[in-house]
Amino acid sequence: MTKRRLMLVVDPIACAGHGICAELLPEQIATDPWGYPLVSPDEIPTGRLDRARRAVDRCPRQAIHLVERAR
Amino acid sequence: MATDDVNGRTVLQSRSVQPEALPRLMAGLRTGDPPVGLDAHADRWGPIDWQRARHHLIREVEASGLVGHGGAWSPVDVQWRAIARHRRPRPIVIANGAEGEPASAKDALLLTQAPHLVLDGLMAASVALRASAAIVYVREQLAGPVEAAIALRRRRQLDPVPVMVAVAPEGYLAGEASAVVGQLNGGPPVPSFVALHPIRHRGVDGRPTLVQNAESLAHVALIARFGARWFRGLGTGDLPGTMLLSVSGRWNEPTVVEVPLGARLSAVLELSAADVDRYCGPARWLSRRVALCIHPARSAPRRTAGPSGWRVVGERRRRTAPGDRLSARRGRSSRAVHGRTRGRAVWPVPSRARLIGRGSRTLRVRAGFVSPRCPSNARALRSDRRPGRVPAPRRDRPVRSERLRRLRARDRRSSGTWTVL
Repeated sequence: MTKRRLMLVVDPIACAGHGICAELLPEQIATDPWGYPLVSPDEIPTGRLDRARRAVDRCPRQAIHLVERAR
Repeated sequence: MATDDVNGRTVLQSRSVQPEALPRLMAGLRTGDPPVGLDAHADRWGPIDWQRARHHLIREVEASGLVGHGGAWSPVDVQWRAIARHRRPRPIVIANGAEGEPASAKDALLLTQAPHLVLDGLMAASVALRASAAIVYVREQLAGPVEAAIALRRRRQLDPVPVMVAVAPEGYLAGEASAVVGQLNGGPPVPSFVALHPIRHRGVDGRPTLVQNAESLAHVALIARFGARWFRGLGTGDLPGTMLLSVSGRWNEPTVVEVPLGARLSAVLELSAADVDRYCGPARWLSRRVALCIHPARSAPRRTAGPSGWRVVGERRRRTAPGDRLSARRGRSSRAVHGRTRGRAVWPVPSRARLIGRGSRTLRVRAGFVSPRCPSNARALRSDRRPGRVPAPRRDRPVRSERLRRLRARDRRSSGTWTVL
């Protein structure tokens, strides 16, 4: 089975700075002084994938996405 | 047209046009002359071989090293190959003549005085990319002349792909690629989040879409005729060819000049100040006169990275010292900073006091351009409307200078929005 390299991408237009994603995945997502997420562009390790999926599902604005990492 | 093989690639041989000769795009454009008609255009440049364009143009554009003149300087062949990968559905090519930057008049000049160059380039790109339709996206005042040119070509059945004109609304951001696509899809003409579905995959009508600056297409029209080697006759190795600059200053009429890439700024200033009909064209469409502002390619806004890593849409103002070479370095990111010429907005100012005045005016001008979708602007708007709902910054940003703080305060009071410089 081919391993997909996934990363998190935030839609800055939709994001309203709720900060749920940052709470769920603090290893990948930091916040700026106003509460908006700063997402690390690194690939998400397999151990964190389910928390990443939870962060994507629970964003109230559906503003964060899990995408295939471009090579 | 004769061809010869260069490194195993078929290359179009140059006609009687010399590579070292300026002007190229602005050939035959004299101050005060009427627009170049279809016959004059055909006489000067000759026909395009559509069959050869269909099969070889992408390779020719790659060999020429043409970069986009909309402001990002991204290689045109890379843009085209990304579109050409998709065969179904057939792509759409858009000539972007919105030119939202008020001090830029180069696209308007091309579209009114030499529309057939841009239309030829649009057709060449459409044929090479197997596009099903082509669109010219222009402001309302330019729609008439462009439609007339298209109607004339249609009567003579010159265009292999159907072309139509779409009217761009006024506004700086209307010329940004995703704003163009959004407007044509029926939405508002503001940039959108395209990382998930890039325009080259899904744009207008769900088709792969190429949004190309009008000037870039004019260069394509000449490359399709005369080939990559001719094109590389001027300019630098990294950035070949010529570019159009809109020059406006307090001491001369606003003009558009054509210079080879890599030209010295002092040469450009001399050129625009001198009354050389061969090189300069009128720039009647400059809606704002600013004190010497040179905009070689920034006719469309682009995304830049803001201070906290956010993508801010809009333009950044940069300053540089005169005498630097006008060039754009292409790094991994199209936002690469090149030396001290950080872009194309140049203000040789006589004194520091005047510098502050100009900066403030820039802030006010730019503040009007920012859309509510810009994240930093969204923060400002939210804090204006609902004070207290947005938490204050947890740490106060240290202010670099008293002057900067005063500028920002003045601008915040005036419009309630501010741009990130």
